[in-house]
Amino acid sequence: MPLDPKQVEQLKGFYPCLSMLADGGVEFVLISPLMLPEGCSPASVDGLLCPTLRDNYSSRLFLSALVTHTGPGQNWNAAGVIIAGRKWWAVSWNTQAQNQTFLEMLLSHLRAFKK
Amino acid sequence: MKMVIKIPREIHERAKRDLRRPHRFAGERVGFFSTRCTRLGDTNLVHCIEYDTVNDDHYVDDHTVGARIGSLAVTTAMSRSINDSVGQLHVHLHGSAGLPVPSRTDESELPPLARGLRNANGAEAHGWIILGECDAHGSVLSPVDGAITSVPPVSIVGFPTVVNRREAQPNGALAGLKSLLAKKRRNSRYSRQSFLGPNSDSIIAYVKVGIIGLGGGGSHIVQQLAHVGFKNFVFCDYDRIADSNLNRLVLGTRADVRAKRLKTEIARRVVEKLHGDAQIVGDGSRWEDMTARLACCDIVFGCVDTYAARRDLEAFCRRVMVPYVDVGMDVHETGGGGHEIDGQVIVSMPGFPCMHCVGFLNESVLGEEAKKYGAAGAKPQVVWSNGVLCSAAVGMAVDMFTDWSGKTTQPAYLSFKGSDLTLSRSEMFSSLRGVACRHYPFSGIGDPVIRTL
Repeated sequence: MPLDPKQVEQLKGFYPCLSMLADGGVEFVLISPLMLPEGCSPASVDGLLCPTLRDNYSSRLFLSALVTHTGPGQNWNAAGVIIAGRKWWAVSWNTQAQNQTFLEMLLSHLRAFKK
Repeated sequence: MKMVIKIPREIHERAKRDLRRPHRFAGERVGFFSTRCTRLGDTNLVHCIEYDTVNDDHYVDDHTVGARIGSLAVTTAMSRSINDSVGQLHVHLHGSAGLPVPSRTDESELPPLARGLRNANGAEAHGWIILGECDAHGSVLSPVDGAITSVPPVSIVGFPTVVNRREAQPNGALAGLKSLLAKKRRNSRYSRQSFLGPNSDSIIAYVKVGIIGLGGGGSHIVQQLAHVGFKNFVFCDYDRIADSNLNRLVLGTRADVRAKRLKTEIARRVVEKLHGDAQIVGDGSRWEDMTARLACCDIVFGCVDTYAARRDLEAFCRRVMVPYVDVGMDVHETGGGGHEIDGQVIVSMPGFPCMHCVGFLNESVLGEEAKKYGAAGAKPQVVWSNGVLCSAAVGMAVDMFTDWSGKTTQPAYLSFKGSDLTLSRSEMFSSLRGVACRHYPFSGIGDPVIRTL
């Protein structure tokens, strides 16, 4: 499904460095760099937002590295998976919300890494 | 920098059909392949992802050469390169059975053309290629430094898949004798499978096979492939054999369990006992850590446990234009204490419908699997159903490279039913004949294109 341009514009207001890449018929939003909440190490990584249903999650946020943090999202159930030729990591984190904008999705996922 | 050219058979055939058309004054025709690269450190895979004909009006009337194209043809190719972020390979046809030989005109006029294309877009691989029936003579300028690689290996990916490796021939009397003895040994060992074709033993000997998962499924595949004559392998499995594997991991032993051997070690032993000159890579790594090696394979077998792994493997193989063969089985309860064994063998060929298209992979099965995360436990597995499925998979692979049956023109989806021991062919691929895969278009092949939003 093509990315909604309105939602992309809204997300760009907060994260100006956005790109799109496609894999397996799915369009992902690449956020590079993505600053992580305080206490994360590394402090910034590349983020790959899958805004559509994947692995039973209504959306997923993949990170380019395994992040050490003290937030509630400690179950790394995607570890080094290959998407678009690159390795990604993600925690099990269901935002439980329907019809979120890309920005809302991203902020919901980042709560997994907040103390 | 090693270069390898890969052409989907569908595009190869389309190009040949176009290039055979007569032109009103030119003696031959010219076209362009659009290319995308997979950069793998010391190797560059150059994927031909589209073919474009040269407009009839863009030829120049010059009877001193077979065909001369004008500046409009060249600027059109340059525009395509810039606008679509692709390289351009000048293509024409010599139609010879073996490796085509470039003419003096080709040798003098095509390098400057390729350099001109590189000036337009230096990030992609440009060059020229002369198509024969089953082989092609190419020269490609490296997107890294512009250095020319002449006569790189060329693979035509499809049904059948043709692999032209360009391996150096042995020099000297001793090497010649060794080569002769090896040929004599091959003639003897493979005499009962000579119906596979006159060159089948040498074709099989240089096909590189990736196998993901070397347990109940992969161990059958390794064993059979090695007997057929395959001896170049990339093995991926980080697991070590346990006693509970001995009910199905063929050629695994109690001694292996005691030694806690890696499954890749056991697979290596199986191959090396049959081939003293086997080339095997794989020391207990996950496939995600072996992607550069797997990208250089001519076929990949996936014998993995989860739908998610199948999805990721198919996506990877499509991106590097490698045929993927999925093998799997599942034992499930039917109610009332009964059980059923279901299994499948699916060939996922670049350019054809994928495992999503045929309905094997979908968000429902992926979601259900994800819900069971961490609670799946040890899945029941048995040796005979794996054997049936893997034998079928090996048969498909042998036909893919030798074309011995002469009638495989599309992928296969076979379903296994354990209770009545039947292997039946799904009609899904037949019903989708001519339908383009929307999940993996050719434009998605090669390094991912990152578009700024």
